[in-house]
Amino acid sequence: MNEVLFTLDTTGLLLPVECAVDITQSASGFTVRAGGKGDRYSRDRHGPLREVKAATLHGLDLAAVEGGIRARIVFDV
Amino acid sequence: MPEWKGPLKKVGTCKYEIPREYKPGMRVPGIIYAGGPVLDALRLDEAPEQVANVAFLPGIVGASLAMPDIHLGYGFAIGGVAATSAGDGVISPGGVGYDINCGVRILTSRISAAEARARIEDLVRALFSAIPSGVGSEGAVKTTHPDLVKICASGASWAVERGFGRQHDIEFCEENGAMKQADPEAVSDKAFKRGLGQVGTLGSGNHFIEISEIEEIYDQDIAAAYGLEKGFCALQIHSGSRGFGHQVCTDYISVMVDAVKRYGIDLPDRQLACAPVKSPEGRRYFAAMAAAANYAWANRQVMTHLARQAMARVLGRPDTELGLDLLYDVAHNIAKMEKHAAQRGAPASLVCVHRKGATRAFGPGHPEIPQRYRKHGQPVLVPGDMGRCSFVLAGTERAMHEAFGSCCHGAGRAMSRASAKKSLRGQEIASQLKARGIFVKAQSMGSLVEEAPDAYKDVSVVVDIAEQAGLGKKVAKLVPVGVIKG
Repeated sequence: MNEVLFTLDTTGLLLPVECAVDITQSASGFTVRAGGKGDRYSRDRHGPLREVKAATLHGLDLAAVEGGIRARIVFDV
Repeated sequence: MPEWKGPLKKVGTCKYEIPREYKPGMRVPGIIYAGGPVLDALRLDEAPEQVANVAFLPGIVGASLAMPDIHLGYGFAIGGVAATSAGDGVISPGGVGYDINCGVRILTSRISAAEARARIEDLVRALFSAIPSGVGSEGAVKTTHPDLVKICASGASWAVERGFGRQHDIEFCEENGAMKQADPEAVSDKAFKRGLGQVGTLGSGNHFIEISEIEEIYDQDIAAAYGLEKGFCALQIHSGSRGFGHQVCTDYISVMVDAVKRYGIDLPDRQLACAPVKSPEGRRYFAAMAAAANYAWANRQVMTHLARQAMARVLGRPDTELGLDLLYDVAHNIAKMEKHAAQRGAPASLVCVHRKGATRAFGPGHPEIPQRYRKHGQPVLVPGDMGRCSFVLAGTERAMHEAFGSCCHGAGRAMSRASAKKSLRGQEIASQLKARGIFVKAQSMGSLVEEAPDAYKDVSVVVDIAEQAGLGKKVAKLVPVGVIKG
């Protein structure tokens, strides 16, 4: 998520759609690969956007649910 | 959220202690400055638990403190102050926050409140147009990577040397606008990239620019020294280190999460991740944090210049004739190496003072206070919400002895952003404020709702508690006339 924020801040690229996350487990732990497609941010087309400072570790929670993983992340705005 | 049920023992005027025995692992007690409605609301979230958790930090000195604008944060409560020994203590990015050197400056002026009110819509529109805010905004000042390297080192001076301000602005800035310990080598490439286009931008969230009327003076002598006169206007600029600082914090939280394992530090909350001050990780974080702090001072300095120019254009007089002199600039998310005694009468030693949503408030005579103010104490700037008021206080001797020279920083949230969005409406807020003579311009109705007066505690209550506790002395009250929100 922090990588997404960095990308938005530096390239103006939003990733709101077609996000894909792949999680694999090995002996050393888990690896998460994620990617997505989006549009370049434009205030005229997308409206005002809330600025997000970071995805924090506060209350970070990951749980296995049917069909995948559910994550709870608190963002600092 | 369930109520916090821990112990609070009254130990002084507006001063409550969480005893060290409350939680095994606490090295010092917690102290919360509270009273009245602040005390009533204290148990409504886990902020007191965060105060207790901070007491676990190795090398913490005296007590884990919280100012009367205390509310829930990430790791540290907002309003938290913690000093750790520079010798064997730790430094924690969570004790500073993501918006490194989020802070505020106030400019005094020779613009009467009557003149400002008569032209307020023009003034606010001019400021809104001159100073970029919100996502996607680019700074009026184009910077290169080499520029940012210089900004990391020289902060506000970088801006003044390029014509963005007056030479004597530097004297009236905490740290003279630049921490000397900054090292651009400690800052990641990512942080540089995020900071590149944002110098001279306001940001969003609770960042704002406000034209205020000086409505009341509580101490005529100190107000005169500070240049505050009833019936004239002041300009407040509240902003921080933008994406540059946010990235520095993100980078180093990740470093510290690994460091705690390596140094065998046991903590009740991952967001308190830290490393010994003297460790390579601790030194690099402090150097990077100082660089981000300097970015924020440069940022506020550039916006000061843009604001002066915009107001001069509207009012048809040179900005020097309008006054618009810098009263002071304070940081309220920062870590500083300062000499303090753990208690009155003990010898002073070098400590790392973390202020997260708290303001430095040095008392009379301190050599780091500008000469003009020294006998009165450091100006402490406490902005409130856009519907009520803000305050200027003076730092006290007691703040030095009891709170590592610290005081409150603002109103503190009373309502989460999500709750505010459910119960308040942007257009109604703007109309209500206009009916009260306050003209607001915001990037979006959403930001107006989240920053509505009802979403915040009453700063008058916070400041009264700080004064009763002896942490600051009221000097002046400012009321909003025109506000820009990002």
